[in-house]
Amino acid sequence: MSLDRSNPRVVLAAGTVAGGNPGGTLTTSQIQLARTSERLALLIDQSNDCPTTHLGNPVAASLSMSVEWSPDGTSWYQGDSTDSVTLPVTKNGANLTSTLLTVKGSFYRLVFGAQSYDNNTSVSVSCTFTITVTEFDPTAGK
Amino acid sequence: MAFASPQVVLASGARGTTAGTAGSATSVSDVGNQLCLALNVTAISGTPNLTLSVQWSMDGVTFMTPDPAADAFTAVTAVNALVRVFEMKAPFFRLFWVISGGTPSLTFDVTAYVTP
Repeated sequence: MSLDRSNPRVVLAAGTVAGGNPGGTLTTSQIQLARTSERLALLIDQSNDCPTTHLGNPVAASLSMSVEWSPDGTSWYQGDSTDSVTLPVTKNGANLTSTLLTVKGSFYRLVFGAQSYDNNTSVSVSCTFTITVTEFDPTAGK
Repeated sequence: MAFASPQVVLASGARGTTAGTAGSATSVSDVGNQLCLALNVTAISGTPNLTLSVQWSMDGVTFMTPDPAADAFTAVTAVNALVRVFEMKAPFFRLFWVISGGTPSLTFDVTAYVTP
């Protein structure tokens, strides 16, 4: 299996996850695979401070990220449990999360959601991630 | 990069407790190793429980269920759009489903396509 690294591109410059219980979601624009890839490796880098606040006090929270797939860019489908990851959110810390996915369509998009570890609290999370996607194409180089 | 054209294996329709099969002798492409099945459940009534699985065949006539683990979706009980990927095991496949529950009915369709 050869490695093909796609050109970096911004698919979600900035956005806000809507409030509510259990909270809203934030979805990127759709991304088309650059190659006939078999696997996608996602490297999620939270390299900056991610403050979470509740009534002015820091609380624990997390973000979930799942990948949705489409064969045509129109109809979207949820994947299985391997297509979802929990992203720890820490203040004054850095987290690096990686996941390897089996491709389930020609198009994909990322869906983010937020949760508080403390029930019945409203949490504000401000966080920036850099997500690098690498496609693994079994036919590359052949 | 687009993969082979998606193919509707099972057209949308309301289905009840009768077990069913679809897509018998549906040949899969030899350009990939993974069969993707996109299940679109658009309506339900009652308290349905849908088990949808894949059976494989070398000749398009005799179909078998993989052992020890069946190629199946987790049970579906609500409106949802799901995709699962299964490693191809034979040139032909068909869908097999069972619906149980209280006065159940689901309206769903299934589209198949192949990825590397």
